Amino acid sequence: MVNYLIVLFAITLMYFASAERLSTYIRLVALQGLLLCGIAVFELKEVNLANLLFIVAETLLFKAVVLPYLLSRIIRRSGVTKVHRQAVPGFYLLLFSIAGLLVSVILATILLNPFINPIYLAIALFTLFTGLLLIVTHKLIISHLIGFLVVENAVFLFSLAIGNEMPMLINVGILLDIFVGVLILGFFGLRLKAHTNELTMLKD
Amino acid sequence: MTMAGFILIAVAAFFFPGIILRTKSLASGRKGPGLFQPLKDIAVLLRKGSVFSGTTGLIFRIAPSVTLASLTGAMLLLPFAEQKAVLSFEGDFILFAYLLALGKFFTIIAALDTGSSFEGMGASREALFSMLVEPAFFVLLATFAMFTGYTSFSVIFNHFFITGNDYVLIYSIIGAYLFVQIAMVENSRLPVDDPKTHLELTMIHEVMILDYSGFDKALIHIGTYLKFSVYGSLIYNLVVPAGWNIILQTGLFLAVQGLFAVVIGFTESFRARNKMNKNPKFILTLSAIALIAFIVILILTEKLA
Amino acid sequence: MMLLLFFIISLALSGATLLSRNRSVTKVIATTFAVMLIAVTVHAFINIGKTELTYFTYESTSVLLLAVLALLTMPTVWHGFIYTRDDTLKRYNIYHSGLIALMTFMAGAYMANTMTVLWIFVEATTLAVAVLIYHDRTEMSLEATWKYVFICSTGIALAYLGILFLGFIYGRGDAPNLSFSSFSMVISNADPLYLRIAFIFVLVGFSTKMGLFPMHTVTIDAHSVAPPPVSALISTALMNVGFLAIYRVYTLFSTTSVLSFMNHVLVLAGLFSLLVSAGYMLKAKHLKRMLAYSSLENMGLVAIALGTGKHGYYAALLLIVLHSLAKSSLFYQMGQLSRILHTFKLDESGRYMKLYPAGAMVLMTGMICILAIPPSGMFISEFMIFKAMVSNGQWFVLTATVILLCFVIYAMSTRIMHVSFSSPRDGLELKKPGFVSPAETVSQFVLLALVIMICFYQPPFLVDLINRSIALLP
Repeated sequence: MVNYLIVLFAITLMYFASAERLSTYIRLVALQGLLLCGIAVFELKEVNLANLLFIVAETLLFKAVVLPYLLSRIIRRSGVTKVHRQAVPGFYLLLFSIAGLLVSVILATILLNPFINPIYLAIALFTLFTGLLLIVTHKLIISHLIGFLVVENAVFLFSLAIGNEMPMLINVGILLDIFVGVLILGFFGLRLKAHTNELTMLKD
Repeated sequence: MTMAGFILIAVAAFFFPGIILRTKSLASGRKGPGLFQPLKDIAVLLRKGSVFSGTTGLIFRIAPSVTLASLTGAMLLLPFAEQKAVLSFEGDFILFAYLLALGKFFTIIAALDTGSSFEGMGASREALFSMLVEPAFFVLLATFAMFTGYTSFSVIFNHFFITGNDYVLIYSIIGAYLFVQIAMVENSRLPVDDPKTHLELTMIHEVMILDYSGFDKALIHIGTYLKFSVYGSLIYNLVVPAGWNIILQTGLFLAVQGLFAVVIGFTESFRARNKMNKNPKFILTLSAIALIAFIVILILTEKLA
Repeated sequence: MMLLLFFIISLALSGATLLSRNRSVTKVIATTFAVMLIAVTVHAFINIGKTELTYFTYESTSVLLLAVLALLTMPTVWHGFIYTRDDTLKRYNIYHSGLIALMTFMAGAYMANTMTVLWIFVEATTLAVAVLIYHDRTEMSLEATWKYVFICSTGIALAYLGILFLGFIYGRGDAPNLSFSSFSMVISNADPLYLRIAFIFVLVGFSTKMGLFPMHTVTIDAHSVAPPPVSALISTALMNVGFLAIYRVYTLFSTTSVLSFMNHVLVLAGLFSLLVSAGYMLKAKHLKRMLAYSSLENMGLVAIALGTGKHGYYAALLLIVLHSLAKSSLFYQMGQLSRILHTFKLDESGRYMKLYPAGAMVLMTGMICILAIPPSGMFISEFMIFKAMVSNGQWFVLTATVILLCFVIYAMSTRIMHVSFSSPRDGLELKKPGFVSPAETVSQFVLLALVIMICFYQPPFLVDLINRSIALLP
């Protein structure tokens, strides 16, 4: 069952490269939150109940509901058009994504460890790669933020791989989510323009 | 009995274009032409003479024949039911892919042979799309080869459903879906290429065969229809287990081909052609899906773990 | 017990600043906090080696860096009072509250003995610094704040990945503690590949904080935009936090086979930092930006020192301490420079010696100190680094370092000489100069005097602390 969820997760990552509208990105992020919640439920069998409930509730509420809602409010408020402008055309993004998937599968077979499920390693590496790709190839601030959310999902997935023994690592990793929440609230508080693409005032 | 597959593919090719046309007409609310109308068109064309342009050379004259010949050769490699194909050896799916590519190659250089920049534009686009969809085909076949452990079409399809894996239904669905998409790209149908458009800027495949007339045109049409049913037979082999009763299989074969034609007809009626610069991304997505399917099957057959 | 009180009271003080009704109350609160921090440092120095609250240990490195922070607390708070004199009450309160929170989190990060607690405190400092950088509310500071928070968060996420890889080496069935001491017991049978990956991730992630090569750009922007007292604090104490994180992981791994790999990576990162800083400083037109690049150069030197080994370890720690003292005094001086010349741009400044001789003397002395020209104490540490490189036979690294340092010395000294002595470029006229009483330079002179003193006399407790910190290294 966990394998299906992880594969669905990988499909959402590939979809990032071919999606065109920002609202699609937000829906993908919400779907990823749901999938992570499902994976946590199925994988963490040895963790005590209170901790498990906390992790599940946090993933479900924060990643799948609150953050996408805040992001969609930012989009609507700043009036950014639905088509996001990219620094790199979609064709090359897809090529990089495919290359990333290949590289992460190869890396996972190199880094094999008898204690970690290699599927987790492969897909978590692919998630990290996709998040960094989103940050590097896009120009809008909001796209950078979504890329950071994906990187944070990668960290969560990594920590789930060993979460059975060290649940505290997962809890601390959840602090990253709260960090993102602060970042997003900065949009509202600081009145950042989400559709700004070039923060170019600071130059040498 | 090994020719049964060959004959059945040819039989299905008789009906294919008619069903597509009829579906499209019915979906738009018209009655549409008869089921054998395209065959009657071909019969008319076979009796006509050809007119060749002064700028064309030898390639232009032999290209339709080469296309049809390569296609017939590819047909020899496909199995049906439990029999082996007429030609079957290890790695024959590579020969299959490249026979089809040979036909396409000759069409492309014949289009360049006419000296018209208009046809050259269509030829370059067609070459790009074929190049982008080729990894999808190979990755998919490689997946099936890895899954069953053999590398010949006949043996793969014979063993596909009896390997005893629990998830084989998922594989066949993924494979069928991908083959439908690949077929639509290779045969230049919507959403990659609209066969009905005759505007200069938007023609891709049509423009390459624009200059043919008479007998050559008939050959090209026959090749197109055969290509459809070749892909249909691949889809059939993926969906129906090879061990079933032979009479049942024949009936199912014709039914699956008919269903395939109906699906193409419906897709053409309800989708618009992609924007030209989105086409490469669309086709590359097919390769991406094929790669994900490969990794999914790697995971599910526990070859990764 | 003392530590728990410290944390609770400082967070309460930070909150109380937000609610205070007039400036005197805020000043009293800030000064109280500074005194408390100094008291905690003394307490830590007396009880070296003890562990409190299970997650904090008064290790020698912690005490060393905590002492540096305590030295800087009073001048920062005092210069902060002067700098924010003209702000509205709300901004005044937010500034000081953020300052108190930042220093608390930094103290916590120094004393943490578990990787995850260290990570949490570093994450908290990022939030506190964002509040402070945005103090001016200009467009440039908004941009710098956003970039800082975003890239620091990404860096911290990567650093956490490194920590997770550290956790992977435990395998199944152990009950891990994640503290450095318990790690050092299992480190010997860990897979070297995992150790290398963990080190790379930790280096890249914490390089956002330390200002080292892979992700240094964000610190450059932040230091050139933040208010000068804040810049003084974050380009010294906060970079020390980043250094401490990398240093702890380095110490942890130094007994395994990945030592040479780590040394190579550190030297490479240091050389690249030197290269970037030399290149950009030659075209820097903003004085604070020039100082930020100088921080980058010093951090590069520290990384090279750490990667060279033997005498390099001592030199690295000495360099970190002295750099904090010298750089902070230079930044305080920048605050006064802006009040006299009303600008930070190089092209619009000049004749500083005539307008404010005390400040110009600080600039000149500070320049000598930070460029490691004798009699600066930093000369001693750089000399030790070169000695270590020669004894290792690393000729290429030595040549490259010396050449790049020459570029840096040239760039910085020409700029500071120009500001002090010549007229503004392009014939621009100076704006009407403000007035600053010379008494404000006392703190800067004291700090610089400490740096110069170290060149001639190194107090035994300092030597002892540094030696204890590097005792575990090979």
